[in-house]
Amino acid sequence: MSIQTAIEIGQWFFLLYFILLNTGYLTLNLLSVINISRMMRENVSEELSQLYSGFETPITLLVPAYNEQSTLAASIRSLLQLSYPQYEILVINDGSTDNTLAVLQREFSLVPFPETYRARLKTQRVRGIYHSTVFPNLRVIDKENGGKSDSLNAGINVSRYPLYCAVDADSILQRDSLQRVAKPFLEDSTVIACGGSVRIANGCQISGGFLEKIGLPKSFLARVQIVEYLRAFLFGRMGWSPINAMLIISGAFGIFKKDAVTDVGGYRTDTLGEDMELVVRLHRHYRLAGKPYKIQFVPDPICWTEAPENLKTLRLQRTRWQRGLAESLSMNIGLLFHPKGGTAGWLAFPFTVIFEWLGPLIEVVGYIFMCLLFYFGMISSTAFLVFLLVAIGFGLLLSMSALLLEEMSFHIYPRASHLAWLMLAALVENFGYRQLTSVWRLMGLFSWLFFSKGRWGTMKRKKVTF
Amino acid sequence: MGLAFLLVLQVIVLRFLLIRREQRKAKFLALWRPLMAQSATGESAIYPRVAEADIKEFLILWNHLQELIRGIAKDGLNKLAHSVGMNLTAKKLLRKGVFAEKVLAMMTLGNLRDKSAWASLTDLMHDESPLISLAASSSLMKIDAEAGIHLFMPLVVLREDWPPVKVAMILKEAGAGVISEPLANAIRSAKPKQVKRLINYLELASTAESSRVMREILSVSRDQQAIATCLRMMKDPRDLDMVRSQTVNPIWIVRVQAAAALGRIGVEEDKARLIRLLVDPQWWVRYRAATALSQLPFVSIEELRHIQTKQTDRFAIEMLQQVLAERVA
Repeated sequence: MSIQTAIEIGQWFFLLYFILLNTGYLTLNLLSVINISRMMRENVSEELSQLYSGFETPITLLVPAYNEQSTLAASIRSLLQLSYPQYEILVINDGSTDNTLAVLQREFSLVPFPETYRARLKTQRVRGIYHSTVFPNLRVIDKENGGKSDSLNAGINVSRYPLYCAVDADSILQRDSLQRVAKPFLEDSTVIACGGSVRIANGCQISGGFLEKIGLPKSFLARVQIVEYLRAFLFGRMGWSPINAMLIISGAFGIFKKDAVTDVGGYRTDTLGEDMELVVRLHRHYRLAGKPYKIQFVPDPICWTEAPENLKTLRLQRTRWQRGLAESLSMNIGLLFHPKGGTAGWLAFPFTVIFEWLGPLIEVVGYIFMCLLFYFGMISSTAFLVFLLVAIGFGLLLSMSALLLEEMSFHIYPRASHLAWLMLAALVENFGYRQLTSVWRLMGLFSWLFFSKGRWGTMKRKKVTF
Repeated sequence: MGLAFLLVLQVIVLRFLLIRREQRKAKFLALWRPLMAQSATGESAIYPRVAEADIKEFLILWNHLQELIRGIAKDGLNKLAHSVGMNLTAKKLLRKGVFAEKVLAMMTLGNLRDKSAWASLTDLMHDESPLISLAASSSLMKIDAEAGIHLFMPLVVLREDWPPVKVAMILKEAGAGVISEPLANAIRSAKPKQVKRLINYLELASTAESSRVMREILSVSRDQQAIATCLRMMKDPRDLDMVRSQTVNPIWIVRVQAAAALGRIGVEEDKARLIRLLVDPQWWVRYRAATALSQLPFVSIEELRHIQTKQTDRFAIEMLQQVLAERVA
């Protein structure tokens, strides 16, 4: 094979890859548009039945904490104000080395409680369980350090209710978050897990642990991430959910049926992507066993989280996410094209393998390859332009369609100037930002291949004031 | 790129329309919210015509208030709706409206207790969409629950796509007096798979009727889930023997419910049964047995402590210790 032929094959490979990638996302986008339109159509009756039905399933909120002495008490105070008929808060102190436990004891009048519980999941040793004498629905587990997954498993063991909600200590929830995400469980007994839309809290006004006023962050990096989150949630998740093939529920906020999770062995402690791994494993277990189940997504913005505003933290976050994704997929590779795999095994899994897992490698190599060919005059400027149009133009189209979905549904950014800034972010992110995140994701892929896993990822945050 | 530009334009147009819609809505609410509140208090007033573009907002606000208020205040709101012709508008929307308008129309006609819509609603109860069919059922039951239940109950048996919680809300609103007998009859003639779903609604029926049905199920059913569901709801002391016999059921989910039922209706001699369950291999059975013991009105804290000291099994001791702490807390 001559060099020229190899170059031509390479060109066509990368071009076709980007066409397939963007066509896939556009299809998801189309599914989301249909789904959101249906949802908005049916919204009238839902708007009128917001009051409690009296049949809500009780929920345990699991809040794993590691060295969070400065912010945890405020987070818990806001969680205590959620509106839901029956819920308990279970904080899991994962062997913090600071004064996390002492602060909780002081702030919530905790006393040791002689609690026995059914240890269905194996965890690090639990040193003690505390009850609040002020808030009857607040308990604290003090355990030896074992990581976030281990903490969640300990929480599941001690929890009292049939549904549990895993929530990050620094997540900002809406008062009615639980009610919204628990709704699918009420309407369909085969629902085993449900996630909601996570939005970016930077730039928003927060008071008493709740969102008071929605705004845009000053940092352009955070603004770009708003568009990115819209894309990920409004058509990433929303597209897969109606065909029961959503492979991830954000660790920041998701509700699970406790029995379903304990049946599959709880969270794995040997992965950084414990949230995604659990969801993929649930799909694998239920599909292969032929049991009816649903994993659903509620597009309502119900959880707000802080996005990194500097490149270093963002890089760490993205490499960690990519590594988590690689671990989740490789640990459940048996679902891929399994005869009983259904939409999860035959559509979502291969799509995620090609475009999310291996995607960064192909994208980065593709960009470098095409740029080099153009630089050395080995391809025409027309061919290079076509490549850029497919790789960047389609990206722009997708970002804009995410904004369109947002405008069709929740339009939470109130001012026209917000919209203008987001449009600008949607435009600019395609020129450099997306390519940069591809490089970071590639680093995550390498770290999965060559290095051992870390624990309790630390993120440098601007402090969220509760 | 052209497509992306078109999307930008579409986003801008949507935002423009949204701003206009919100301005209109604010104006509408400023006018109609006080008028509706006034009508609910029985004050009469002269109402302006509802503009065509405001009909949807009007119906949303009006139905929302209907959900919030009770009793005589609803009559005032109904008078207002009649005086601005919303009964006729709702019927028109029911015939010609799009999906959301149809749902709103059904809600309105239900809240207005408009009997002339009976035939249309009966047809819509059989609609394929669960949202439409349930909205029609709900309205029909609001208009006349006693007549409606005989149309609604057969569909409850057949429609597996209806969310149980929505069905339960309709039954709850109709009241035990209306639903008990039709529900009992429906369960008696249903297939075993349907029975499992239907018995959950017995909680909303009268105690006498639900107890009768549960006794029948317990005496013939081999479905452990159905038995457990019945035990979960049993509160009639006459059923004690049936409950007692289930404390030795080989399936633990049944033993859990039997223990809990003994906590509600058990007598002195059931103490020994519950103490035996404290050493059950299943955590939940031990926990429910200990909780049931502590709930028996004739078992004091001192007696619970005494029972604890007599135990030799570590699990039983720990479980009683926890339940004692819970009771003290």
